[in-house]
Amino acid sequence: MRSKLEKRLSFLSLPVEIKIEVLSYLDVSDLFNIAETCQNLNDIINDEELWKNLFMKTFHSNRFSSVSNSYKFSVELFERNKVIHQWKRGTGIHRLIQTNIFTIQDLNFQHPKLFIFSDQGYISIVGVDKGKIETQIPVTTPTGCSSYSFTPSAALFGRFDGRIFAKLLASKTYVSSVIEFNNQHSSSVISIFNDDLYCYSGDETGYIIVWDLKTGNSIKEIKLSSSPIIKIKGLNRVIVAIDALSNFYFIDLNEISDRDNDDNKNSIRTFKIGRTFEFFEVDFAGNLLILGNAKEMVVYSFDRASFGRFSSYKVEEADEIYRLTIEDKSNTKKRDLNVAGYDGCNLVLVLKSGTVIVFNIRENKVRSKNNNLQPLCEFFPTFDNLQIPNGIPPISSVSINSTVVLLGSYNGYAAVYDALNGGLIKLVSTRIPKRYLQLNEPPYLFPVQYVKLGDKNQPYGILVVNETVQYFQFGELKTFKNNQQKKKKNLVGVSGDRKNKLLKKIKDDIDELEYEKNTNYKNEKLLDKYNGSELTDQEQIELAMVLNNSLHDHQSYINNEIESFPDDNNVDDDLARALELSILDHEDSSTFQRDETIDSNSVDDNNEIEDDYAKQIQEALKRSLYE
Amino acid sequence: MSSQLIKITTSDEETFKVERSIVERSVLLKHLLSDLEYDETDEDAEPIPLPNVRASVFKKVLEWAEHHKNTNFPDDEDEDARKSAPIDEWDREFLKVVDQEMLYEIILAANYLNIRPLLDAGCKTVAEMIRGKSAEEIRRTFNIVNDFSPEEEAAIKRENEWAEDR
Repeated sequence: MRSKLEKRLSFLSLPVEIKIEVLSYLDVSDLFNIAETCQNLNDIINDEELWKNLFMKTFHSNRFSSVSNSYKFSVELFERNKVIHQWKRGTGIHRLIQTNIFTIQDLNFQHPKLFIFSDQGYISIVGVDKGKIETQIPVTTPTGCSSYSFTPSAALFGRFDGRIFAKLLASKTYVSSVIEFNNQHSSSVISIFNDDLYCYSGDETGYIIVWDLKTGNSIKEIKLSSSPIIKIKGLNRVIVAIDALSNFYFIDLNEISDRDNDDNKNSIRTFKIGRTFEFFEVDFAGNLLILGNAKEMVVYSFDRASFGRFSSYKVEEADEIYRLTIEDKSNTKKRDLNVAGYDGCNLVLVLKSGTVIVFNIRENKVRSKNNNLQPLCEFFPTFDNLQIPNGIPPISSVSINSTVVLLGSYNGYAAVYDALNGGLIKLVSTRIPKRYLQLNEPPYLFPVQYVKLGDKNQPYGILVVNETVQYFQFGELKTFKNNQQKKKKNLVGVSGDRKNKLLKKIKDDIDELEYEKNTNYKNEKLLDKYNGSELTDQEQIELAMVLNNSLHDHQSYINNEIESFPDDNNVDDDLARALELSILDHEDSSTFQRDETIDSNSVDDNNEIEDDYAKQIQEALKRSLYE
Repeated sequence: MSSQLIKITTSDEETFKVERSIVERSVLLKHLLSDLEYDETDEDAEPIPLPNVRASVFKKVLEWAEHHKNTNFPDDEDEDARKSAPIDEWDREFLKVVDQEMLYEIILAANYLNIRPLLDAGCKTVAEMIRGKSAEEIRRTFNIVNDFSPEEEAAIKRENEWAEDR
């Protein structure tokens, strides 16, 4: 009886479209297991045309920047849908962090750390997972600084006198002092850049020098031009540079031996750009140089086969390019055409009018006749409840990865759009609470100065309005074990000696203690100042909150807002206040718990250190800090 | 009162009399009724034939539609909302008690009649039977015969492991 039934109808006998419907509810790992069951299901899962068509149906493109880096369209479709689904439906976590940094020069986001370089001579490292400023490193910008480079691995300063100073930012080296490179340019350093291992600098007389970031030794000096090198970028010893006469230079140091200097001339490839630009980006894995000005964007190839060829995109008469941002693909060495979607790279233009245009720049049809770039999608974001007067660019900041475009507007408004089809995914943030934004005076609008997406296409990001950083995250984060291990190895490479590891840990702890002392002192002062004055209930609670947090939060005012809301964020004021109060209550209790754990930790640490030893180090440290 | 009902004949020649509101859960029948300008008050109206659905399956579909008479389902077009909704508790029980063959027949009927919420519930139920299981467990669940040669199977496993690690 049973076998008779099975013959009539089974899972395998269902039509393909229903099987696919069933599969669409599963995870990629299930997909692999299903493929291993039998020929029929294996054929379905490996039917590239079928999955490609399904992909096209949703995303309207089969040449794109991959999320999964998989060769299979099915895997790519599943992974991409999952990420977008997380953005849409994941439980929202929002954290507001008050930084007290007025003038941000530059910032980098590498989850969970946000590096902020400010004019005041500090690099602040904000832990977005903890919602506070973890470390403030004084870098005291060397006087006479003519150029700088700021990445998560280092901050570099090139000076008018040709000298270069570096501050490594790999964790555990925070407290090490600023070092000077072992050599110098003979003229003013005009351009400087670094990746994780090397530093690249160009000077006024047309020389470039490649440095080992870890040791500060110069590896190679090359004369490129007789005019100043105004732009330079490099990745793993591949260097691109532009001089003041708008000549482009390409050098691959991996092709040249470090010693013989005669061979250099043949290894430098160059072409003339002959146009002005303000935006300068490089896609190393795709061999592309991207330049842009208000009216047009041009993508040049520096691939051997098509060296110097370009395609461009011009904006309409009345409009202007306002922002140009490229997806960070610096972790991949070479474009891999086997990847589903041909391993593209996204670039986004934001126009003054507010129009957003996304390109896959690796798909520029380089033909002599028609060398216009074709956008992937174009859309015009709108923010309800936010009135932006005519003439003001509605979008202030932008960030892009393989899946989404993050757009920042004003007063904390930010939204995420699908990078491939331009569809709205989510309004990720609305107005920053009033107490952070003084909107009493015109213009009543504060631009979202920075937005940054996290790496690995994960559904989180940050935005910055004035002195407030907001971190947002949707759903649980995926953990990448392999990558974390790799990262650790890198850090060891940069920070160097293993012997010094313990010393540095001790230094860190002492630094922490000093900081705490200082914070306590400040708290007391604060307390004195506020004693006696009459406060409203609300203020009292807030004050209590500030003090409580400051005990271990380095005086940063945090507010963790954990909200799980659906798409509709229009909570009215009363409700918002009630919510806030309940969060405060919750905060209070959790803060105490955290205090306890921290205390016990530091006690343990202290026991490990022999007293004398610690004192010595503390003194040494103090001295080096005061220097 | 019986004149208010719509007559539908299944593939095995059984005729059902069903309220219009219930019938219209099926987008196929809904369009058919309006195209035919079907008048249920007409005693002599011809029954609508359903050549692809057996009576026992149609009974289950009607049972489902009867239960969800007043349910508001998410818009068919809003794919993400549909997909992310968990299976309705009643649907879960309803589809759990039937055997696998009936489950597939219900899915096919829902597909043919174009009843999106029932099709979704059915597919989700089958997906639940797959989720987290190894290839061997999936084979057992669905009575799938392993028709790979040992070499083929090893090759597929290798390929998948490699792909998963990327």
